[in-house]
Amino acid sequence: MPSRALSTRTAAGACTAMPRSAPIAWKSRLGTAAVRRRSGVREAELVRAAQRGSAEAAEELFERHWPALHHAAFLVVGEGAAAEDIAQESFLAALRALDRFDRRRPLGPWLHRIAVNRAIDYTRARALRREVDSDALDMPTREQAPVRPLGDDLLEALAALDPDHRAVVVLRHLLEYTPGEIAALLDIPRGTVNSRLRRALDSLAGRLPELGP
Amino acid sequence: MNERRLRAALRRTRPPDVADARERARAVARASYASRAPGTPPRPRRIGLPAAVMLAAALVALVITLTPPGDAVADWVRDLVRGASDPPRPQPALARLPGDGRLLVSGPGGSWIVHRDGSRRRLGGYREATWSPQGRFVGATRGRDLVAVDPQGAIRWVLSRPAAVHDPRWSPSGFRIAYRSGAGLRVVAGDGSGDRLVARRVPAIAAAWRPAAHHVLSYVDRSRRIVISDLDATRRLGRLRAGIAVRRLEWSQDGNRLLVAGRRSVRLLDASGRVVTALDARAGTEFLDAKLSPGGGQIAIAARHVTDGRHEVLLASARRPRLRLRSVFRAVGSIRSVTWAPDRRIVLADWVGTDQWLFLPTGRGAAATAVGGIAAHFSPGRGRSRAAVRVESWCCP
Repeated sequence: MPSRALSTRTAAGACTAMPRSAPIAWKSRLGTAAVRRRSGVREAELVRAAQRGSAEAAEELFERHWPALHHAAFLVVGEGAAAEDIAQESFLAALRALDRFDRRRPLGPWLHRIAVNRAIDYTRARALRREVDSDALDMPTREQAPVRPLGDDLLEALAALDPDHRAVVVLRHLLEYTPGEIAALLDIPRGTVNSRLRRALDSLAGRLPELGP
Repeated sequence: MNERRLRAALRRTRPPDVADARERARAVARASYASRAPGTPPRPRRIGLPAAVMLAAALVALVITLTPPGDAVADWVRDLVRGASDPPRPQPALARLPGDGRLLVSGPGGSWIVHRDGSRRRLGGYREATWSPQGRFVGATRGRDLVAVDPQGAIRWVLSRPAAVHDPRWSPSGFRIAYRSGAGLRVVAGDGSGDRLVARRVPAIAAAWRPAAHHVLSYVDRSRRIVISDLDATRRLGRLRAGIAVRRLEWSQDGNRLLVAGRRSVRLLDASGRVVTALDARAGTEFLDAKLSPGGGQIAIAARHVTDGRHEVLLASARRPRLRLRSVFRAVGSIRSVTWAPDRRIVLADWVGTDQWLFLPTGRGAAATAVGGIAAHFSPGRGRSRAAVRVESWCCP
C-alpha cells in the first residue's frame, strides 16, 4: 500500500481524487448532517472498494476514521497508550469484518460503537486492576499543585465520571451524535442516554466552572 | 454548563503523540489489510534472489558476525525478512483444549472454568480468580468480597472488606490466600479465618507465594522494592531493589528463582536477590507479559513492537545467563498475555486484537491452533467486552 496514496480506486474502476489531509476529513465527518450524508455517499464507494481489495480505499477509510476513534477513546480512557491500542484494535476489527459490512449504512457509527464499547470495557478492567504508582499515594497539597491547562482539568473531570457517562458525553459532544443515535449505538434506552448526559454535565459543571454559562 | 464551550474543550483535548500514534496505527492497518484472507488480491509471487543480492546478503551476514553493532543489524534484518507469522485459521468454537488441565478465565460475564473437553462452567459473577493447589477450589473477588468456591460454583465462604478486593493468590500449601484490599496487602487462611494485614500502601501488583517454602510471600512495597517475607515467623527475609519498574512477580516451582517482569525488562533472581538472568527490551519494544513455565526452565514473553505495532510471542531458556529468544508467533493485533499449559508443551496467547486464543506449541514441528469468538464465549449476550476477558491460569492435569 503506498503510504502517500492520494487517490482511491472505486469499485467502478474510476480513480477519485481524495484529499489525504486528515483534519479536513475529520472536520467534514463532524460537520452538519448534510455533509455527513454527502461524505456517506463517497464512503460507501470506499467501503465497496476496500471490500474488493483496494488497499488505497482501506487507507482512505483509515485516514477518515482513525483520528476520531483515537480522540474519542482517549477522552474515555484518559491514557494515550491505551487509546492508541483501542483505536487500532477497533479499526482492525472493522477491517476484519469489512466483508460482512452492509455498505448502505455509514461506517462511522459502527466504528464508534466498537471503539467506545472497548474503551468502556478497558476502563472497567483498569478499575479492577488499577496500577497505582507508589509515588502517587502521596497527594500534593493545594499549594504544591501547579497551574495546569484546561485539558488536564477536563480529563480529570471526565475521569471522575462513570465510564458509561464519559462515553455518552464523548458521543454527544465530540462526535455529535443525537441522544437517539447514542441510544442505538450503545443499545440502551434513550431516556437512559438523557439521564446520563444530564448527570454527567452536572458533574462536569461542578468541577469545571470555567465551562459554566 | 455551556455546551459549546464543552465541545470546544473536548476537541482541544487531544491525545499525546498523535502523529506518531497515527503512523504506527497506519502501518498496522496496512499490514492487517494486506494479510486478510477474504477478497484479498493475489500477492505477487516471490522470485528467486539474484546473485548480486545473495552476495550482499553474505556480506551483511559477515558484518553481523564480526562487528558489535551487528546485533542491532541482525534484529533489523530479521524484522525485515521475517514479517508476520501466518496465523492459523481460527476454529469458531472452543471444542476442546489442546492440553490437559483446566483453564480459569475471568471477564465481565464472571469467572469460568474451561475443561479439557471444551465445556465451560460459570462459577459466578466474579471479577478475578485464583486456583487453590490441585484446582480443588477457586478464590475469587466480587467487589469488596473475597469468596472461596468449589469448581461447581458452590460458595464455601465469603470474607468482606471495607475496600474493593483484588489480585487473590492462593498459596501452594493451600492454607493461605494473599490479596489486596484498598492499598493494603492482606492474608487470610484458606478457610476464611485469621485475616490480617501484611503491608500498607502497596502498589497494585499481585503478590507471589514462594513454592517449596512455608508461607513465604514476595510483594512490591511502596518504595518499589521487592520484599520477601516469612508470614508464619513474621520475619522479613529480604528486601531487594529490582532495578526495574516491576509489573509482575512469579516464583519458579522449585522456589529457587523469582521472575521479575517489567515493561522494559525481565529478570530472574535467585533466592538471595542476585540477578542470574536478564533480558532488556530493545528500543521500540516493550514487554506486555512474561511467565515462567511450570518447570521453571523457560520463559514465555508477549512483546509489542511499538514502531510497527506488531505483537510477538517469544520463548527463552531460563537456564542460561543471557536469555536467548525464540519467536514462536508474530502478528498484528494485541497479544496481551501468555499462559503456560501444565505440561509445558503449549503456550496460550490471548490475541485480544483478533478476539482469538492461540495455542502455540513450544516444541518445533507441531502446528499452532486458534479459537475465535472468545468474547462471545465468556460474555454471552453482551457482544463486547473482549478487552476485559482474561485467562487467569491453566491448572492441574
